[in-house]
Amino acid sequence: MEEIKIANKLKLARTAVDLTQEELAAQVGVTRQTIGLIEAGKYNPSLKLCLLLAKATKTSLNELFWEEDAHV
Amino acid sequence: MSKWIQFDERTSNVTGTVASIFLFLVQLLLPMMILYQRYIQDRPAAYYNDLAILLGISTAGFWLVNLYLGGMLPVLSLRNSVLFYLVLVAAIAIPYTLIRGLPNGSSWITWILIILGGPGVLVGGYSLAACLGKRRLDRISSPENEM
Repeated sequence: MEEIKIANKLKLARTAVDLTQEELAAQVGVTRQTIGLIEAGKYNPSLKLCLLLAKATKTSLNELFWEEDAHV
Repeated sequence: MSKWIQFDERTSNVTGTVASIFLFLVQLLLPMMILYQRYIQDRPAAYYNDLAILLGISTAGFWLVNLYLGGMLPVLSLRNSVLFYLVLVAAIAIPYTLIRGLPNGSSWITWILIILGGPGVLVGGYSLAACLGKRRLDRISSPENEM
């Protein structure tokens, strides 16, 4: 299976809506560590969690996550 | 999410992976313990029967439910099922006969039960779980379920 590297700007989006990792984690129902790992690019969230994160940070899925090499 | 046990999709994935590794280890070590008690220590069956039952429940339960829910292994055709069965019969019959010799008198029934019945249960269980699992996934993902 082809390896796809996913990049994200969750940290920027989170700070833009003035949320801490803990507050965002509580809103989407995961642990603070999971948010930290997503922001560090060490964990790929499920589509459901991606949508919840986009909703919580008032962004779209496309703005929040993209394929590292494909982004322009 | 509970305040004490923090469980989300990431921790579920980690738990699943760790559980699979340790279940694999248990399912590998239990038969080794049984064989050690049976052939090295020469203990009677009463010593390891409980372990054998646990191993049977754990292995059969894990693989049957995994096959059913995951639909990850191929459904065998009748030809391949027969082939698989014959390979299993040979794999059990040859070492079993070498160790214990050919049966005599009434022990033929036990011999037939172990050598022909065991693989039959294995292949039958596998085929049933794989087939029902695939059917279940096909039913869930069929176009009729689309809105």
